[in-house]
Amino acid sequence: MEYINPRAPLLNNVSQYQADFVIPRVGVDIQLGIDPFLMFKSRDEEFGHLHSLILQTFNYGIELVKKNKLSEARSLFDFPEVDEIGLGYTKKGKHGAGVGDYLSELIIETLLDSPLLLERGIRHIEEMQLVSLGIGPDRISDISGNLIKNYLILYTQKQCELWNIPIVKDVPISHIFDSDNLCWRDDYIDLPVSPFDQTPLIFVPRRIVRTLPWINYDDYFKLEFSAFLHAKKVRSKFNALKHTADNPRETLQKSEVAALSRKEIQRIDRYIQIKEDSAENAQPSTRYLDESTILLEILDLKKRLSELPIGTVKSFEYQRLIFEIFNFLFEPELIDGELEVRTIDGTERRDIVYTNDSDQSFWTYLRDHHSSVLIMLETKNVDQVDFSHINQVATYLGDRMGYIGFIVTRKQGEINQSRKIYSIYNDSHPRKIILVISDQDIFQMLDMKNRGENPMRHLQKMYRIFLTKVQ
Amino acid sequence: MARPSQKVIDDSIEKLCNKSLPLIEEIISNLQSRREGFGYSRKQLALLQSVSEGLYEEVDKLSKKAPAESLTDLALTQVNDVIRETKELITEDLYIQRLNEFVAAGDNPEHRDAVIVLRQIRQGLERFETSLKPLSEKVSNKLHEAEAIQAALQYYLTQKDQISIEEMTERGFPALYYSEWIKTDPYGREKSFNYLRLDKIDLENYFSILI
Repeated sequence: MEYINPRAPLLNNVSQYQADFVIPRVGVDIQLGIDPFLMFKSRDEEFGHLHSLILQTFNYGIELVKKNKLSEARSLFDFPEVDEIGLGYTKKGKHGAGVGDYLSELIIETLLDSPLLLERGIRHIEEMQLVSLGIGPDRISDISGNLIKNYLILYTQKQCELWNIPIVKDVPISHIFDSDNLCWRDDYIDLPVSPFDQTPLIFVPRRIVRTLPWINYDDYFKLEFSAFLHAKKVRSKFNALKHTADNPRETLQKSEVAALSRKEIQRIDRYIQIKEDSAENAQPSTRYLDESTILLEILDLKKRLSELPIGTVKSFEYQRLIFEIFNFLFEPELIDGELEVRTIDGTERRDIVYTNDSDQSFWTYLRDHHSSVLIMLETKNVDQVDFSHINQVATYLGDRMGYIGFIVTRKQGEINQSRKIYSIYNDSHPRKIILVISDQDIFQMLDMKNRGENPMRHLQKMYRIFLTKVQ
Repeated sequence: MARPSQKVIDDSIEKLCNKSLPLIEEIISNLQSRREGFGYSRKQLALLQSVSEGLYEEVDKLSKKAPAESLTDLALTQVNDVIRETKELITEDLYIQRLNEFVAAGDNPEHRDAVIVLRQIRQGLERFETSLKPLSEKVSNKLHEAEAIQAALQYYLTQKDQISIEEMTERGFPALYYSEWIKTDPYGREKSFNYLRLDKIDLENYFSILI
């Protein structure tokens, strides 16, 4: 019987570096969870809405508990593990503890034990880790995964179309949250399935996963209680206990902290405020990426680019390759890349559009100074971009697409093209900036990535040169 | 060969005066503009020297403490203002013109880089100061000379007579201003303005000042 590595990715024809989503593994969960805080801080409107949905639903459940409608609350707080996403903290296998009912009871008990929490509601569902003994990072991911499952299904279908991943019709999916009626439903959905056990797959965007949620118990304990314990001269005793595995007194320690937090809710407020203030440090985890394959991927991308003939006949292949290269270079800073994005009226079509959800300096700068929440690329598989290409991009730039756009083409423009781009800059208010990225630039960025440098720096340098020249 | 009559000489001088007066007025206007420009340059120079000195000293201190740290946004704005205004002031200095404002693009420059640029700015300002003084004096001298010529021309056209040195001095034009335009009579006694020199000199060239 052929040995299959349980850690191998489930999809062989999609690179994890290039995909916007976390590719599930064959036989094990990836030690990651959905972190709702990454949705909270995202500039992507959709993520913002999803975070609001999670919060509103949870607070509605709290209202039900407050009104003593416990049966309804139990039904709402039903969060089994979402097996389809392949994320979790189970070290062996792919199925978690299956503790939907247990979790539901735990949430309700915790709320009943904290009149302050019942009164105030929550600002982040991660707060539940801080007030309840049995709720950890895995449960936070489960709660989020259940509540945004509908979005994840649509996202998965979009990604399947983008990456040509086969979809099976009418796969039974249970426990999808109906946000209009605030209830759970089962359905038959078109989804990809695992080639190994035919179980359905649901993809999760790389942008919203972390090993531990940004707001987590260990961090809370360290920030809020270490000084407190020190003052009471119990720290040394605690450290001795901490190093004893599965010590019941360690669990007791968390129960004490949770009990105290339920009563002194201002501790949570203080901690949450600190975490919100340092939101820019909350970044998605990337440790699951297999760094040993990076050089091979770079070589492959370079080879494909240098071998691709110039000419409009190959324009679609070129567009696709540039999409893959930019995903490889900039995920998960530029996210949710889409090809052939049409305007609402269908009159215009942008080759590649990304959402700029990065906290890195240059991307943040573009978002702040050029209104570039979206980053647009026009790909031109030609020897020389002409004025019509430049005018086309200039037309696309504006309030919606932001005021910086990129033309990706095979060779750098000549002086006349540069002059045209400068004149567009000088004649526009707000200023429109068009940067031309050539094969040479792409090779340089791929080399930077290989050296462990950030390829964003190359674009930043191009931007600086552009502005220096127009000074 | 017979000497030309006084009448012929007088007619020639009148023609020269009529021809030269508008030209010298234009030259005076240009020189006045340049002198005003020098006044502005001197003020701007003093201002930039003061600002750049303060900024240099502060950034230099920071650079010694934390060379690789980034400038704050406020300091960057001020450094860029100094770079821009110095470039506008010193247009002829190649090394100053090669400097560019920092484009932060999300990452402000490091202290050590800002110190280098500020140092170059300060040295450029010193070079400019050194060249500004003699040039400014030259323009002032040329302006005095042009105004003296203008006075002499106007005198001839109204009085139909050549102006003496004494008369010029009375009108506020000491001989020092226009020493090259003075002629002495054949007996070496009377000195007056040499109108016939106008015939030998291209005024535009004569008053052009190359930096």
